[in-house]
Amino acid sequence: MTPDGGPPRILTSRVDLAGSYTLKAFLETGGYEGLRKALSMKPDEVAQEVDEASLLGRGGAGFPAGRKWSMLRPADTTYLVVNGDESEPCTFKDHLLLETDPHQLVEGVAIAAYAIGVEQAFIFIRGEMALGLERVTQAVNEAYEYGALGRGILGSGFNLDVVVHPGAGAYICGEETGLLESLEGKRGFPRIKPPYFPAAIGLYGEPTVVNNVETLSNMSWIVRNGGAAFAALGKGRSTGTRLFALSGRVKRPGVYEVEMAKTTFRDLIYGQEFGGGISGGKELKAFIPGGASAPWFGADQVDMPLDQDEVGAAGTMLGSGSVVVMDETVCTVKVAWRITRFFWRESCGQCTPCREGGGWLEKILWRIENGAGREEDVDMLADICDNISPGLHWPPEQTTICPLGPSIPSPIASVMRMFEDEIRLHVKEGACPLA
Amino acid sequence: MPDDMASATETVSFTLNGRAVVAVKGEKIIEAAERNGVFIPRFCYHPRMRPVGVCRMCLVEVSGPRGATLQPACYVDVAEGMEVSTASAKASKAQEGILEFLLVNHPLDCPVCDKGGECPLQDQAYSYGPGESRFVDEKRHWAKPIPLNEFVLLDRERCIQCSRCTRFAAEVAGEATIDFISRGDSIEVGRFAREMPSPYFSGNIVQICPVGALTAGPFRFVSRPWDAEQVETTCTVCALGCRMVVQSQSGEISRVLGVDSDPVNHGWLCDKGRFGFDVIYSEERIVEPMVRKSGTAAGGTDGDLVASTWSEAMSLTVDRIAEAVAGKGPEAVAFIGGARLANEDQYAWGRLAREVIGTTSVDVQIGDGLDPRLIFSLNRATVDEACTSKCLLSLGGDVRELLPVLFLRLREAIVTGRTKLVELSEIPTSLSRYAETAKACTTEALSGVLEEVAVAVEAIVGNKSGEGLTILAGRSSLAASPFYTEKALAEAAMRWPQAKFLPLLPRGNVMGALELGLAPGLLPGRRMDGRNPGVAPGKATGQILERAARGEIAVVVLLGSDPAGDFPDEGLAMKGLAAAGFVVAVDAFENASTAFADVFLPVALAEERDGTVTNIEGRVASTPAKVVAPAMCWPEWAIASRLATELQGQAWTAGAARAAAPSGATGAAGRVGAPRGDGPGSAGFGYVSRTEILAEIAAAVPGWDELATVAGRVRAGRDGVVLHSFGAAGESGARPLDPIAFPGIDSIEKQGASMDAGGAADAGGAADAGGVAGAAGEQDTSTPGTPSLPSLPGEVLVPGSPAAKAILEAFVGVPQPDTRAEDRFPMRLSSPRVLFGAGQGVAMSKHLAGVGQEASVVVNGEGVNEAFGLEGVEARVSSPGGSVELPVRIDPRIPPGVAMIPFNAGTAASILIATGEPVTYVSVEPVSVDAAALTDGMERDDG
Ligand SMILES: Cc1cc2nc3c(=O)[nH]c(=O)nc-3n(C[C@H](O)[C@H](O)[C@H](O)COP(=O)(O)O)c2cc1C
Ligand code: SF4
Ligand code: SF4
Ligand code: SF4
Ligand code: FES
Repeated sequence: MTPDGGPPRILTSRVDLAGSYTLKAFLETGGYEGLRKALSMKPDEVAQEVDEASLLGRGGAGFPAGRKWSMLRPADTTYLVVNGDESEPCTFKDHLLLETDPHQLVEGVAIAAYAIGVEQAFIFIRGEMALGLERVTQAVNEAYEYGALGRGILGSGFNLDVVVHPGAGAYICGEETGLLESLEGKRGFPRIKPPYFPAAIGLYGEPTVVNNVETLSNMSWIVRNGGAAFAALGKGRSTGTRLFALSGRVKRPGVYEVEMAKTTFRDLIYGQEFGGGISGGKELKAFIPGGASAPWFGADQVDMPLDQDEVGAAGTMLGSGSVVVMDETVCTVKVAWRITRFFWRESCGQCTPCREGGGWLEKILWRIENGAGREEDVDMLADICDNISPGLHWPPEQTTICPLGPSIPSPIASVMRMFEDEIRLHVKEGACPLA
Repeated sequence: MPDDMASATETVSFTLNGRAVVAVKGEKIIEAAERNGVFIPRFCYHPRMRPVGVCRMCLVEVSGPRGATLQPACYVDVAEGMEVSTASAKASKAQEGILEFLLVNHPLDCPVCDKGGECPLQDQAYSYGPGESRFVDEKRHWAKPIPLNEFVLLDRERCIQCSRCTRFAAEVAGEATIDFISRGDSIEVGRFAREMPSPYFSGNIVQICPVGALTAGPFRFVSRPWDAEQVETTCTVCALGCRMVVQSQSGEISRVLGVDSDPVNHGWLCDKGRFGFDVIYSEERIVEPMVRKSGTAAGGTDGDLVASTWSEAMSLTVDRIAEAVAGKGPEAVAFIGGARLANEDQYAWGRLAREVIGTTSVDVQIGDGLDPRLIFSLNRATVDEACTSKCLLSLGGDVRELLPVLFLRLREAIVTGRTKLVELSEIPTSLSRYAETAKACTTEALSGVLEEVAVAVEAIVGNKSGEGLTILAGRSSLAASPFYTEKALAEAAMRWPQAKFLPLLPRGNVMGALELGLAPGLLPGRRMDGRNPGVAPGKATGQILERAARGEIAVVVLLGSDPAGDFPDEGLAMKGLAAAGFVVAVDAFENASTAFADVFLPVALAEERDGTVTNIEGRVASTPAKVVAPAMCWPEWAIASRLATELQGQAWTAGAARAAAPSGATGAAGRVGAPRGDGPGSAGFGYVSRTEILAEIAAAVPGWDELATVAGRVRAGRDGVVLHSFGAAGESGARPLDPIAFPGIDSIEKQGASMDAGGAADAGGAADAGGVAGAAGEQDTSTPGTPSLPSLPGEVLVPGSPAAKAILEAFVGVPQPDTRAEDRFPMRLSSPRVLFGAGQGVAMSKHLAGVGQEASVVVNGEGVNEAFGLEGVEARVSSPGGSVELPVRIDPRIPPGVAMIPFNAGTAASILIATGEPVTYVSVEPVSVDAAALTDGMERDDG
């Protein structure tokens, strides 16, 4: 957690509070004040504040929330959908928000809905997060009773209905168009963009804004303190604070709210208030800066700030806000295999390169890790990856329908780029040299 | 996409592999490229389904705002200025990559796979693949194959997840009975435990599967594509006339595949049309002439049909006909049926009946159709016109049961929003769920309800003239007199002069028969026959059977028909056949009626004979033979020709008698029967080929003259020709054949479509015109609802003509017979025809074994339910005409008070129906203890 005197806790101010998820605790700590204030403003003015805040989406793509809202195609029926499917390995920051501060999310949903003129919102929550689901459902029910949802919210003329929808156990339903399909009761097969950009053709074919849980949890603070105050934190486009889920070989894994751009990966991994350093006193070998699909950084990049654009310029991304730390004892082939296995199993199976490529790559990596690699496998890995994501750069090009496809080569390409020797040693020795 | 670039309003220019080309706005890259001679590999794309872009096989390099990227050509519209490279290094690598990926988990068991040799995966792997797979690991395994339904087996290991089958099920057939389950490379096409893909259209998924994942039981391990010979032909199982390819190996039919005919079937076939071809190989087939041996008494009781020779069978037949005419006059010889025959056969039999014998007692319809004079007085719609009209108004008939692929066409038109359906039907049909308005309406109430829905219909089309309206003219139930439907149709035609009509008459080539002379009261070319105005066209079979029962008919010729099993009033049919002096069956199988036959003349069946057929639109298309009929089975025209020649030797024949007389019935429109010689007595039979007959039809039959110029095209033309005089548009253009869309069909150049069986020798002889002008119109009193028609001898029924108007008025003018349920029989019987009934087409096919519908009585649960307790219980259904026992099924969609018995699932319905009654009422009671004494299942009530 942020130290006293540091940047404000925008998202996690209540996480240590007993019963933080109850309406009572929420109201005692300024809950729904942001919504009240928003309702006293014009919708455009609210949207304006969010735009000024330069709030970048926290779901993975980092698209500015204000811009996204402005792209919503005007129509009689529009929807707001909250993406709470958080299922990527090592990503668990929305989890915290859903369980500890569900009203903050509900308030954010109401503010966003008001700003963009939506009267029906859906909160899609990963089915496995049973407690989160329960708490959000509870919060929505309480909000209805309290008058923060439903007809004439908090005495205004604004109506909003919210439906909480549990996911059925598929990572791909976190991809926004897969999510919309799932919400419509179909298989979570991502849609092809264009034309299926949710803002144009979304849920039930109507224009839809899809925002991440964390993205919307910022709304109350932004409305209460102004977009400028949010933008004053951080640097450039990377404003405000952001949650990072830190895991791997660190002493204190967990979710940390840090000021963007002002904080570096070194702060996050080694700072006493954060990760507290590598566990067991080992050396840092590499880290994943933004979730399983992000290309990796080596130890030499550890002073890079948590700045979306700087990280992007270095060929990777802050993505879903999960940082995974590998120390010198970690076999990178095994990590790549483990992530590949995840994507292979979570591929929706709709398009060929992802469906077939994932399993193939997994099999090769498994063989290499377990001593049955062949010389030619190494180049083959690279070529197969190239057939999924031509050129193997980031942001990627893809032969697939959705970005899950090019996520598969991402860790493999990282290992090839930084630890090719390690792979070749596996092949040569017929065993994992780090086992 | 429009083939005709000139008619397209907006075009876009783009660069294709460095060449400047033009596309229609909205056209996909894959289509525009193909039109410009560049084939882009594909799997999931199918020209008859919406693109999904999932297989990624069609990736091409497309310039865009972010530089050149790989885009699915099947999914992306061509945009102005776009630069497309289909074979750049990047595109080629991507395509190779996709093929390699597809083969990762593919079992490559081509040597034992039915698709081998015609497999888009094989073919495109050779053309666009890397040549060799680098995959060395263990592949995914599934149990193989698993059945999806009666016909289709799924081998999940071979599946490439293109989703063509699942999309066909949901998007085309409208029943999502298969869909993907699981994910990643464990994804599989899954089925539901209780709901299998219905046996209506499932064969299509086998055909469009681009690999051997879906195979058809009837074709498994039967033949290799390179051993197959094929011919493109027309399905004659129902009257839609889907275009198809018949393949054979070593002279035996191995498979039937759908051909994409733009105006007709879009490549689809129904399962009956696709799989039912094996009837010709049935062991039950009669392959030599037979005569009943102990004596001549009919009744089927004395003596057996025993193998004979054509000469014996023929001379017996000729003698009996001669005797009959001599003794009782020509009307003592009657002909029933003929829908299975090709146009040329029908024309020949018609001439034999009307000209040589001189009878007007001919009827192709077996009490299940509509009056042809009415049909020909209505503006006919083509299928395309129906599908593009603003409103479809159905007056009854479940199109999925009657003309299955028409259901697919109409359904597509409705679900895509092109047209709206207003449906009036006794019981819900398969289109009801798509209808804007679906009203339960008994057939006798049609005319009244039509008034009620008129406003809604006019609101949809936006006018009162009926422009943009197509009326589907079918019969909801064979337990109600056709009169009600006919009256309603005539009223609709008068109300909406611009409306068009599509008759839903299901039997194979029934339209050809009506056009060419097997319709009573009509001469070939829709010309009113002035003779014998007492016969009621469309109801003549009933009259023939009544007259036969009274002993007035000496010879009944059954042209592939089975009145005892198929006529709505089984009792009347049995009585008639039993009392007929002599029964000639011209058929391929024994049936309930052939039990009365004295002579059985075996015939060649569809795939064994050349010819042309006419569909419900009036489209004439060719049906070239693919295989050779068993030696003793003759084509029907040849039988007619031989009979005629032998009969013409007899002094009494009409041909001989009238040869010198002026042709009374022929009006300005022309003469029936080409003058083929000058002398009397040369009545012009003795045809030696079908071509000759076709030429004669073209020359002699008004309205068919055009066929002379299009005959060549009918033969070669893929879609056949809708003759202009039928009021419909002409022929549509040739289509490019996409080998991936409907795999299995060889290039069309290879088809050996020949119509000629032999040379076109001219047999000479003149057939003179048909008959003598009749007296004034006369009411037929024996059949309810038969209008008093002006006899209009010689008039050609062209929609809109005074004659046609007079016909419509006559149908409108007749008072409706009253109907009312009696206390004893409180429920109304509804009896629609079903696709898989008990007829020969199903019963004689091993492939279709198991799909035939079981007879049952279906009632709404309400009220009746407690009387029965449980579904499946046996019930006694009784009418004034008879009584049967059937298992009960409960279906809440059946209106209360209605008992539904599928007409052709056995003879239960025809035992109950009395055609003398306008509507059949029944009682449905549980089989009680005392009633259980009557254990015989189906018992005649002679009271
Ligand atoms: C495979 C895949 C999985 C994703 N999973 C999630 C997720 O679990 N939660 C989430 O918010 N966004 C996820 N995203 C990103 C969403 O598609 C979308 O960009 C995001 O929800 C937009 O919200 P934001 O603009 O507020 O960031 C995923 C994307 C992909 C390609
Ligand atoms: S890339 Fe993978 S997850 Fe995305 S649509 Fe294709 S198969 Fe599905
Ligand atoms: S079974 Fe055939 S048609 Fe169906 S998805 Fe698989 S490959 Fe495609
Ligand atoms: S719909 Fe009719 S014409 Fe078409 S395949 Fe079926 S039976 Fe044959
Ligand atoms: S993605 Fe275009 S053909 Fe499959």
